[in-house]
Amino acid sequence: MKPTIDINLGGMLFHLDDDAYKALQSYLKALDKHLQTVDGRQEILSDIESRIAELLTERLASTRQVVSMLDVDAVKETLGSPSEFGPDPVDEPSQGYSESHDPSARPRRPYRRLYRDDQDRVVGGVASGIAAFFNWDPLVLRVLFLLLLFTGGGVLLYIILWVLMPKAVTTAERLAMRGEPVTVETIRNKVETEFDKVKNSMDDMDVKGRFSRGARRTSSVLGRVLRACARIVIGFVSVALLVTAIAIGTVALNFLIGDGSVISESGKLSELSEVIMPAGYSITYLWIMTILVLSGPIIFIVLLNLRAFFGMRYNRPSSRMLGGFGMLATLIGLLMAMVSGIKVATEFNVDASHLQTVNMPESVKTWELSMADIMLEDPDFSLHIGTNEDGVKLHTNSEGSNLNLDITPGRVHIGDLDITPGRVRINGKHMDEDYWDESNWEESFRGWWYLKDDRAFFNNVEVDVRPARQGQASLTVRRYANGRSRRDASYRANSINYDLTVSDSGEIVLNSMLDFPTSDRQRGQSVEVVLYLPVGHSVNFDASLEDYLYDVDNVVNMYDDEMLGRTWIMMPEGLTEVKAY
Amino acid sequence: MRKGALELCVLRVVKRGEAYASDISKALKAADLLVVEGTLYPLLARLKNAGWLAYRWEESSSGPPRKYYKLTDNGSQLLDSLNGEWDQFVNAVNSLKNPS
Repeated sequence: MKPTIDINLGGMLFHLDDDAYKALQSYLKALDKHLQTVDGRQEILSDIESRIAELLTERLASTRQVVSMLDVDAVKETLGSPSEFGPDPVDEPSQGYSESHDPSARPRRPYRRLYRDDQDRVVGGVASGIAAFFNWDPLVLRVLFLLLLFTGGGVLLYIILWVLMPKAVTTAERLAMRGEPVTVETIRNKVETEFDKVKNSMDDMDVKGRFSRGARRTSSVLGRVLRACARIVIGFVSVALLVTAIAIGTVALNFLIGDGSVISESGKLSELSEVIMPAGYSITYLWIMTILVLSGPIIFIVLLNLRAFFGMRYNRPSSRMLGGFGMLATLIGLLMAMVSGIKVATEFNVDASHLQTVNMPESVKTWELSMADIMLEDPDFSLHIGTNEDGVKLHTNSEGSNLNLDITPGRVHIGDLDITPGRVRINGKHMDEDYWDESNWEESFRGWWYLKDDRAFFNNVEVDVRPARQGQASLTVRRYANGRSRRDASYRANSINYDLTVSDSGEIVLNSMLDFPTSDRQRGQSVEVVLYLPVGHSVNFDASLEDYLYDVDNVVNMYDDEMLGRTWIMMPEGLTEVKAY
Repeated sequence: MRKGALELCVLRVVKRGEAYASDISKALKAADLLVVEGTLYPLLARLKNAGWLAYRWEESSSGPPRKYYKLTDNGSQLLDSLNGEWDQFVNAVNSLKNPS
């Protein structure tokens, strides 16, 4: 018993053996391909199909029902194979008879048309199509599109071109895309090479037979749209990742070789790590760890981009090995990070604090609270203030200084300080109306920590004002730190150094930085300064307390930053603003 | 040249009376002008599209409906002029064969 396949040829039903069906199908396909460039291809094909139906009917007569391979062979012999059709139909596809009499008829030049190259594409084949048209390297255009992407118009331009440019489907179109002459010879060559390509990839797929069926099924319209979307997303993600990788690479290099200034203006990152890493863990440990952790993602990103832009494959042994190596390196790096991280975490286990009370003048009832203005890391840095006919001038011993001075009676505020050669940090700043400018915002984060002479300086200082229990104003300084045990934490808290001065006239000048031995490591060292005010005492918050006032209770629930520059009096119900009338 | 000759032949066959593709191919094959039938179909389509041939459908008792081709007025004119050209051409070629 042999199964047959029913087909409809020229409106007639035929039963075909399996092999006969395949032979007939491939014959019709070959015909279709051969006639691709001929006007009225559909009509010719249907004429030929009718003729085949007729021939088959003749052969079957009334005795047989099933068309065999022999019948198909006979039909093919009668009609001839596409190559036997001769150069006739394809050679001069649109040339009618009368044109051969036209004296102005010129020999046909190979013509070029703009098509999308579907077979060499990243997203829609627009770039490769344009590249083929101008005979460029598609990579140039892809990079161009990527650059345009950042200007925003690139996406739109691409989509418009995608819609406008037809896809090069047929062999003739693919030849026209590359400007090769469309002749039987070139078409045959093209078809043969592409057939070989397809055959090879089919051979590959047959190894994974299930995959090949799945792949064919997804060639539906939806599947193609989805794949195009996936390509776009992958394209975007890989570009984003590439940018990230470059950024990470820059930072890592800066971190390893340079001074870490990319991340933080507050001194080297390696210094920060020195102050964070547990005792006994060298900076080399941190460096190796960082390199290992980053190597996996960076290798992955590089491979992804190679694939996206150069069509390289992951599954080549070298890429696979590289990927495996990256993954292993990242795992080892993460393990190292975990080991040291756990160690650090245990040193944050318990906290402890030490309380100190500062002596205060008894007769004073109005207080001025401010931060010490200038903190210089560079011990050799000095400021000289002088005057000339333009007004006040400020000189420093560093070159390239660019200072903005604001002098109010009794104090000097330095706004923007930018001194390149030496490393100079200034912590005091003047607050004005547009303080929350972006530049000022950056400014306020400058110099929040530094290392000097084996001591670490941090600005973890909080200032609060609370009602006093007795009739006397008092000032307390509480130094906090964490540790593995209470004893450990207490020891650390005790080794914190913090200075402030209280003048007899009631000016309290706080230090914005606390410091401790670098060997203690940063384990949550902080200082809380509390001014206890009895009812009737008043306090003025200087603008320099910006970022240091912490949640000061007041009767109008004003935010800390807005409390600056105002005078407040302690009333039985709480701090109340003293308004100047 | 062969293409032009084949077109002329097809026109001449159709000139004798309405014919469908199979008739034409039989006639051409009989005259040893056609090797395989397939060549004929693109040619017929082109002549039809150029307006030299027209066709009508006719049901067939032994297969699908057939297209019967006939010459249009344009086609008749073309055939006349082609016939003239062809004779000139043949004479010219033949005159070289028997030098006088």
